[in-house]
Amino acid sequence: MRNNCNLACLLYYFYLFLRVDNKIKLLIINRDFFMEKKLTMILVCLFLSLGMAFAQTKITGTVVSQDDGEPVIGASVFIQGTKTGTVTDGEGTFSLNVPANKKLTISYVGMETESVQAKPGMKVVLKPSTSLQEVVVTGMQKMDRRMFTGSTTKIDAQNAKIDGLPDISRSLEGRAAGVSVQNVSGTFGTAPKIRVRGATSIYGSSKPLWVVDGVIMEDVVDVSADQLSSGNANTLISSAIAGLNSDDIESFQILKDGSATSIYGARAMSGVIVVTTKKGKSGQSHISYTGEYTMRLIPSYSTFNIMNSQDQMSIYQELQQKGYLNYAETSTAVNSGIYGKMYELLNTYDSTTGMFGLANTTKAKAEYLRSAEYRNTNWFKELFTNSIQSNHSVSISAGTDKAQYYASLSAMYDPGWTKSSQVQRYTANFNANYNVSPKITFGLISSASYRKQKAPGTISASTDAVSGKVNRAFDINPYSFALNTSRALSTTDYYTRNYAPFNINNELEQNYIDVNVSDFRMQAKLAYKPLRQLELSVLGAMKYSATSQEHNIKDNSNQAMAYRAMGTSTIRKNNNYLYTNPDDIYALPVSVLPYGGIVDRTDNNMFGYDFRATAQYNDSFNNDTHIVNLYGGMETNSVDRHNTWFRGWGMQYDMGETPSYAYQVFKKSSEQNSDYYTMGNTSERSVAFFGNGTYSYKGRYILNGTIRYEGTNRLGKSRSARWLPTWNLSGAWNVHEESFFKSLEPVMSHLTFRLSYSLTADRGPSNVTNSRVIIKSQNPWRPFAGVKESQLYISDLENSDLTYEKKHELNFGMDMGFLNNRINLGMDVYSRRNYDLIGLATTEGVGGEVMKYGNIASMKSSGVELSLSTTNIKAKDFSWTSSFIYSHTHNQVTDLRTTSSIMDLVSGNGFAQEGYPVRSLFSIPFKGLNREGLPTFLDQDGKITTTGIYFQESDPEKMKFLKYEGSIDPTDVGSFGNIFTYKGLSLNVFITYSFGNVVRLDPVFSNAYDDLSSMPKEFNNRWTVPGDETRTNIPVIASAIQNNTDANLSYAYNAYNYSTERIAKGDFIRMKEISLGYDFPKTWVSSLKLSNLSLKFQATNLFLIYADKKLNGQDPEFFNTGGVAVPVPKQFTLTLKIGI
Amino acid sequence: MKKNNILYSIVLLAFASISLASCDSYLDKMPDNRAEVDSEDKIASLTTSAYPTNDYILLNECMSDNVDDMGPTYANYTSRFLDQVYSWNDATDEDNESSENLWQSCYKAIASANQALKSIEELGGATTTKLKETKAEALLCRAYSHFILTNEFCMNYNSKTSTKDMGVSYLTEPETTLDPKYERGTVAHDYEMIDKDIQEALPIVGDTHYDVPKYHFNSQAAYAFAARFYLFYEKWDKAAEYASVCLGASPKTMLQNWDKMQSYGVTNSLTPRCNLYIDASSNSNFLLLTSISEAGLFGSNHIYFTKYSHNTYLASTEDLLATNIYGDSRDMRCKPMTFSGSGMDRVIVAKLPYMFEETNPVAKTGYSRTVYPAFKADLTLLERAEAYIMLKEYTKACDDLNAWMHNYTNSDVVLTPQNIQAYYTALNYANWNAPTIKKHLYPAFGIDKEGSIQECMLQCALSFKRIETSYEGLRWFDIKRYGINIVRRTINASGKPGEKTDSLTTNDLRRAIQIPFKVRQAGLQANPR
Repeated sequence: MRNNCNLACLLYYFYLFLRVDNKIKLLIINRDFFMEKKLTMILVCLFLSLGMAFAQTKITGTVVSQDDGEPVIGASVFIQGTKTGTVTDGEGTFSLNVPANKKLTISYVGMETESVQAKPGMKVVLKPSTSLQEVVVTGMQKMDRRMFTGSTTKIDAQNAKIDGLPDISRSLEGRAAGVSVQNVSGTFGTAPKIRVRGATSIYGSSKPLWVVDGVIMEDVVDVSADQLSSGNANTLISSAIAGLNSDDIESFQILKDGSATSIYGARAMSGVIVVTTKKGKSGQSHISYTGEYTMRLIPSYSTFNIMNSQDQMSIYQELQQKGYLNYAETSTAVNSGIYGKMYELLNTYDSTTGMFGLANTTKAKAEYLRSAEYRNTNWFKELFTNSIQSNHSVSISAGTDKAQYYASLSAMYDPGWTKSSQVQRYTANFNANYNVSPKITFGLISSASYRKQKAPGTISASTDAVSGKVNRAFDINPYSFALNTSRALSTTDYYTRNYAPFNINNELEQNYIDVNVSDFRMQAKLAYKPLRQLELSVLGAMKYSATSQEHNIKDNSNQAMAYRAMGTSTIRKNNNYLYTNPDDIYALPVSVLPYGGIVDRTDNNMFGYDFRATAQYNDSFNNDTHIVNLYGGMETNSVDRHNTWFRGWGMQYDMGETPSYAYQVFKKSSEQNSDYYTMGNTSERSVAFFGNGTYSYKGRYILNGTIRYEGTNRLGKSRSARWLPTWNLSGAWNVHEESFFKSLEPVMSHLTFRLSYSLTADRGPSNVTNSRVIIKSQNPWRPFAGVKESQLYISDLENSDLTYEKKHELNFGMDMGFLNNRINLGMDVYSRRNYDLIGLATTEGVGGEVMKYGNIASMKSSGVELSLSTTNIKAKDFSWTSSFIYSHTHNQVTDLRTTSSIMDLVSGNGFAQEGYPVRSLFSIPFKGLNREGLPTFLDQDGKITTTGIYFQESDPEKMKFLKYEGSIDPTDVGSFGNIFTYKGLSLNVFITYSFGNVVRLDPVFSNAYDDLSSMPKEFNNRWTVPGDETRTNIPVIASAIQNNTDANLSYAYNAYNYSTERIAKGDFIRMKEISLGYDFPKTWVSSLKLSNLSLKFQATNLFLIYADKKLNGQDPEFFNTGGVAVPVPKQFTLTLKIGI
Repeated sequence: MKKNNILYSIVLLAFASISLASCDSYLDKMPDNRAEVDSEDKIASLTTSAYPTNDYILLNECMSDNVDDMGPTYANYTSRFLDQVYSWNDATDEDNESSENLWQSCYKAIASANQALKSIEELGGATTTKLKETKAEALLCRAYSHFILTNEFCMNYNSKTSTKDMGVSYLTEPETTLDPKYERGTVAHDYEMIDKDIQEALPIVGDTHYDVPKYHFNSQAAYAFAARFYLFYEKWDKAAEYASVCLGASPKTMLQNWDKMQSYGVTNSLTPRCNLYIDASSNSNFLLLTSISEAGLFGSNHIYFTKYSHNTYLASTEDLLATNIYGDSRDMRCKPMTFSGSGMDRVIVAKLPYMFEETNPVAKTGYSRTVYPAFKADLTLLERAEAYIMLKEYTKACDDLNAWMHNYTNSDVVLTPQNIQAYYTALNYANWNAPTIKKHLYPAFGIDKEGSIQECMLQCALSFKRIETSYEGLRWFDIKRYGINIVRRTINASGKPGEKTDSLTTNDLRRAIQIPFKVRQAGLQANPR
């Protein structure tokens, strides 16, 4: 069925296309290619009008292309300075009467214009237009820059690449106006949050589409924008392009406005990033080696706001005075640190020495506590190393006129910045082109990569619906551990977590995730040029990814021990990791994990293929007065994803990896309706037809239109919802082609205006697919095995109106060049209206769901983008170039009928609210401390309160008291870069900046504390005695009595965490990169039999030039959510490049 | 040439349309593992999800006269949600037990039932036995969820005002658009629709296809539901008739085995004892439903929600521990347990288990669960007694009351209309600070005057029902149906009523709990206040 479809669609397309010219249609249908030349002759005759009168010297000649040596058909040949000329015929020859000593100008679309002296029998070789800026690669077609009417930025990978960052997507930060890259986590494999022109959706991912060598890259797992910063293990496989070696990349083309992206129509709402990998070139052959050696700095306490152990111990003493950390509770507490350990030592009797671990005397205890006070443990030093990460890549490229190829291998080895975070990555890439004949070319690309990674063990975070607190049990993320753990603790002692002994070093060894990722991709492209103007091509691609995440919780890890912690009867009663048999009246809690550990494995596989057939027709008439470019085709894509999950209990890692499980595990799972393994399959299918036409008059006025008709299975079986047409209409005015422009030269050397209007779309969040009712199966919870059965249930009610999320965009652009293009200024202004966005609608619930996703929301956004590049100094040996990039974006939700609660609006991820930006953050107005040192706030009724904030309140009238703080997404981003070169030396200083967002500070305040956590230095300034409320806003440490008398005290501290006091500006200016490179002189290098040799020393992410003081070292880009998330480190990289 | 052109056009257009059609079938691939309901088995499986997974138990217990406010010393053992429920205020806080969840859960069950009924029609109607039984189940499920919704969110049914009282929307089709707007209709209309569904279902109801009949509307459950419905619908003869079909010739053999429950004694864990109560193999349980609920904690010895408690004072003056016609709690086969001490003063029977569905055993996340008998022989027997009393068939009523009482207690008292009248006329009507087991009745349907045989026998039946339904939430419906006035009172440090804070009169509009906030925000008409 599928083949049938492809073929039929292809033929249909041909039909549409061929209607343009009936004669050519006949040719194809009759398969009579000989007629082709006659035809062209007829065309030539039609266009020939002049040149007959002056019968001087008749010159005949041939025009050939440098690329393939084949004749150029339809090239314009003019006598210089006149309007007399002709066009080459089917064999590339022309004849023309030329006055003596006159030059001929020969031009053809996509080739450089040549002016040569006329000679009989002359052969003119036209070179393809080489300068990089001249061609726009949309992933589907290459277009002449002058004919392109959309907004786009091309980034040369060589210049943008940040050495030592193996994930290439991170190096796009600050490189293109309108593109923001937020490194929400720096862990390898985690995708940064990339936005092209800001958010385009409310619940959708707003992720740009990645297109590599013309093929859309699909993610193995769908990780939403919020989940990217969650620190959960699946973020490790969230980057679709982590398997690309940055050395293999030639360039990026970022397509921004609807005109540029509309060829991808229904998937391109959030912009497109087109990656082109390196290819071999004819006549050149190289072997080159690139080695990168990176050292990362260990974070230092001096940049953070963490208490030293002395201050920390004084807090603990205060806690003790206030009724906490006493023997009875702490010795059997879930979690305990210094005090818990002290009580444990007091109880530990060593029969050989006849001594207790600690004598129960005031003196001994004071001594024990004093030693903790002096400890000042440096957790960063303990858990981080500055070991060297290295990346080696070797590539060979060679080519003849007939065939060109590029092949590369790379190996990256990272011993880990933190403990338990090794990465190895190997990539191979092969790219070959073969010219079967002048008319037929065949290209093959294949690439493979394998990644092996280790990460600290983590389970997914869960959010408490009532308090909004994000909890992650058993978190051992080294970065957040170092920040959150008291510096009074020793690195070797075992403290208590979940009633079981805990030591971070032991835990990192015993509890880790092994990630394996292999990617394989291959594609073939066949192009056939029956005519010089016409190119038909077919492309087929296949990709396969297999990933596995194996979480090993070994025998002696705290996480495994927690399942068997029953040291005292109190612990046995309270430890909820134990299991009590409900069938036995007298049962005591027992362990479901008496031996061994737990292995938890998730596999995600993806298999996809793409097929595309296209035809491109380029022609020019009347001496380039009319240039027509038509492009069209169809494509089908298919992606199948498969995932399995399994959890094995009782894996005895220390006993030869033999499982030994307790039968209670299964009894318990059955009783508690927990899964023992799961499996899931999803399939995506899409079909699209597209066409694009460009017309240019004299190269001055350009008109462009695109239409795409796409269908997907994603919206379910409903045939009305699945098809969507998208389109764009745009134009450009190349003012510099006008005759009057001559008077402005050379001060002004280039001026183009562009205007476009478009409709593009996206499929919305991946979990919203209910254009028909979705019925799934599940096992309803039942109390006993004997009454279990499975059932079908309605997972989502039908929403027959479900459709794509859509966007109308108006873009106005201007490109200016001054002083022979030494100063280039590009500017784009856009206005967007996003509608039919998926939002969470509040309904009457009579259908069975109160909150339903549907196309109810709309938003508008607008922005300005500016990029300025200047060549300040250009001398023989010295040059200085600068670039300045700025973009501003603003969005506002214009329509959203939904219900939100106070909790939604004040927590750190931001929330969409009508009349505000997509991710706006609010605060509870703080009104100072009261006489007891407790925080007070303005509440929903306009009164001052301590504990009266109703986080669940969702009546809009009662939420008006909240203060709007701003958006969590930056509004102004950009960069400032300077490159100085002197002979072989080059110095690059690159600064990025980001402004306009707010950040919620870490929620560190609580109504009760334990003796494990560290506290920020603010606590030094806390309320201690009445009267302090006049000088400080840091609330009191609540005593046990205060907590007993007011059960709702936690509301007060929670409200404080989400108050106007705990917010900071996210603005920053970052010294992103300073690098010094040296290209060894050619003469010197060639004596070593090398073609080039260079060294580069680069410092990345060095420091923040500016950031809000309230952040106190908290990285405004990074979300410290634990799990596997770590920030991008400060690092130094040495790069060695050798070319032979 | 021209002809050819047209020919080509036709051929290619035909290709184009075929290609679009074939593309459509290419795109018909299911995006995930969703199911198509296209067989008997699948329809039956879908109907399994036509039962609400949230219950009314905690909500109703806390609104009824089965709890008192235990005062400020218990301030730590409550939630904002519970405070609002207890004081009959419109709830704003979200909670697993909130009215919004109950609303959504009942309508979700209705959606499953409607989808199943639609699928049966698509399959060509209920032609086979299995389809007939499934259709009966779906109709009964739809009726049951509407029955719960109407009784929670509306004023109780009565033949006088229900044609004007706002009902809930009675849904008979699956919803297909994002945000349709509904009219609430009237309580009378809801009852007519429930009546219609039950009448359509009863002739085709059957148990042949169930694997786990006790978790479905089996025939016994169907008739028990019909009996309760017609009792609420003031159709006493039908109520008695269906109850008799359900209970058969020897109801005594169907009743709860209290001696066995008593034999489990008081242990640390009450779960095994509760498991007996909700045992699917017990004849007394007709229909068992599971729900996301903390009702199991509320009726246990755990210190949860103890601020609003079925306390010793209440129990010993009004129900479980109070002197009754049979004697007192010492005569009960299964003695109520009293837990009083720090942070707790509660008299329980330990019926509904507290269980935990652990969706992730590593992160320890999941749902609190319980199982409750939606229909039980013991209660159906008392409901039949009530119907007989309304029909003035007092001897038959006494037979049922005796049967229940002799099963629940060891008492050798034999009830007769006369000794019931004698016992109850001797009792005072309860006052907030001088409570008894007898409260004034103001039912809309009208009964004989106070002190009459009918009134006294109703007092007796209601007092038995209150004991039978303790911790199961059903007392609230009797309070509504009989217009019983109840109070909010605070128990002082000496365990006696200290203060009366509010009271609920017969026509108090708060008897219909408020439509959930979000639903009102979406446009559904609110209940008047």
